[in-house]
Amino acid sequence: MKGTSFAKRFAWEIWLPIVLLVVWYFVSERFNSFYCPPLSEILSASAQIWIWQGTIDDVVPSVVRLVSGFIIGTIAGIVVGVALGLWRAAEDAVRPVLEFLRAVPGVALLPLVILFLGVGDSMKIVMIAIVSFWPVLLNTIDAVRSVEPVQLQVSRSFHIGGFDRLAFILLPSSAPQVFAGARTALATSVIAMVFTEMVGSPGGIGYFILNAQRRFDTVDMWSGILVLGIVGYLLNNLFRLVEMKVLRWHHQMTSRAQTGA
Amino acid sequence: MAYVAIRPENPNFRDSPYVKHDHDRPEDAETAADRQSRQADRATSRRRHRGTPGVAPLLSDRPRALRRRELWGTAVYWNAVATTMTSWGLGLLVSVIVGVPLGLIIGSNAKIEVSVRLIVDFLRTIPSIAFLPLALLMFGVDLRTPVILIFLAAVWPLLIQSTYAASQIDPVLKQVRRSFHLSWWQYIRFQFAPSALPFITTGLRIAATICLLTAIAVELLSGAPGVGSQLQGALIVSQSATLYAYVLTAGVLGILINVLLVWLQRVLIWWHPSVRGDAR
Repeated sequence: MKGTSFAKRFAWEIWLPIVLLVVWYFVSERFNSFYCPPLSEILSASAQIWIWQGTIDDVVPSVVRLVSGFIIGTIAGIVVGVALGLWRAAEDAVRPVLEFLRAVPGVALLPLVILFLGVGDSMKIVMIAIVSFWPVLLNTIDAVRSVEPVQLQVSRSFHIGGFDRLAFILLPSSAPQVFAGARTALATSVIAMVFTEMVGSPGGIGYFILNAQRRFDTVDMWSGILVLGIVGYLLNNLFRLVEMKVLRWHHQMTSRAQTGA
Repeated sequence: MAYVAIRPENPNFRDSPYVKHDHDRPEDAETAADRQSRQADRATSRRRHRGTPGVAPLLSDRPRALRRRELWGTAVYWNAVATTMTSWGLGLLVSVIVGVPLGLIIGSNAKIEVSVRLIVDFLRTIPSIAFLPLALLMFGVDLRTPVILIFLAAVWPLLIQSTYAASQIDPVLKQVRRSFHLSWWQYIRFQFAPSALPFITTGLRIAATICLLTAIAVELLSGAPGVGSQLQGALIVSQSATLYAYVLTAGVLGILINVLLVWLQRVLIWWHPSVRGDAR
């Protein structure tokens, strides 16, 4: 599919989703099941709910929690990862503990976090930060380890040390792998967001979906699921944009290497 | 499922008649020595936390023994572990059966791949937990609920990795197949499997971890039996030692699954540089 025009490519990407939506629309109209209500009803309910009161009440708080938890977890992961990556003895010492903590499914920690922090916003943000911490941490350790040795030798011979070495050699060369870890972290933090909202205090998309089920209101429930998908999709694309911007030099380099120029 | 905030630091709470303490349970036939050691532990832990009255009950009474010795022999504990692992295994199995062939079909043709990309990208960003309310309405607290939600979470990494696996096969291999008149089976065995398996095993490892996570999350939220609902139960009656014991159990299960999958990877792709250990 390389070399085809943008319009043609776009047409190929979009035709199946449209067909499926149309099929869903008409099939769900015909079979009026309680669990899967007609798409037309879901859409009209969605328009009522999410423009704009629901967006302000549920979507915005969810996204704020998600983003703040994700940023806290990512930054903590990078800082600890760089430290452990540089200080080999410490990394060897804590490695078994790290492996164990990483293997504990994040959701199993939820009761503990609730025990300490209650069911409010701080619990949710901390949970999101915890689950996004591990992939970033492990990737950062590996990335700092695998910096090109020649670069380190050059930095030593030119007496580039301390902050400059960190900012101009270590961080740029480990950035691609750190971003790979952060992309995994984003997916798991969306899970953690929905999960914590379902157990925690009211407010948020996860709570909205659960509450709709408790009222046996399947139309609202489906509209919540749809909005959740849209929010997740937009966040993913936003992340991809940031990555493209930050790692532009890297993508240019790899594509040049591939074409042999 | 909503939480009533129980304040564990409330001094009256421990003496409340509604809280069944672990040592009241009949199956806990403990010896005198056990009891003595526990009292000693209590005393030390109280001494340790004297300065911070609110914190002591939050931390386990006996962080060292973690009640495992007592839980170890109970049917409740092993039932919980077995139920969780059953839904883990079934969910992973269904995901593999559906995800891998579908991914291979999608990846084998660039036109199909482009056509489904938007749908896959959209669907995989919806956390499967969001479907929990729907699954509860349809199936109730049943083995089907965790299995279906695990499937919805774990099928995506398998599908995507298998798509990569099928799409990156070297086109030259097809010409080789034609010129050597390889049979269909020979093509699968000697060309397709060696280049696709490394991707699929990676997907399998990611999926196995997600399966455990989803299993525990579903049990915790829905009360379906398993490690997750035991965690939730321990939290509600604020038995922090039991809580820590189950968190530890979840961690051990995670490690065991990881070990199992690494072993499987070794068996399946023993010839691959990443397994042989001479990767550059």
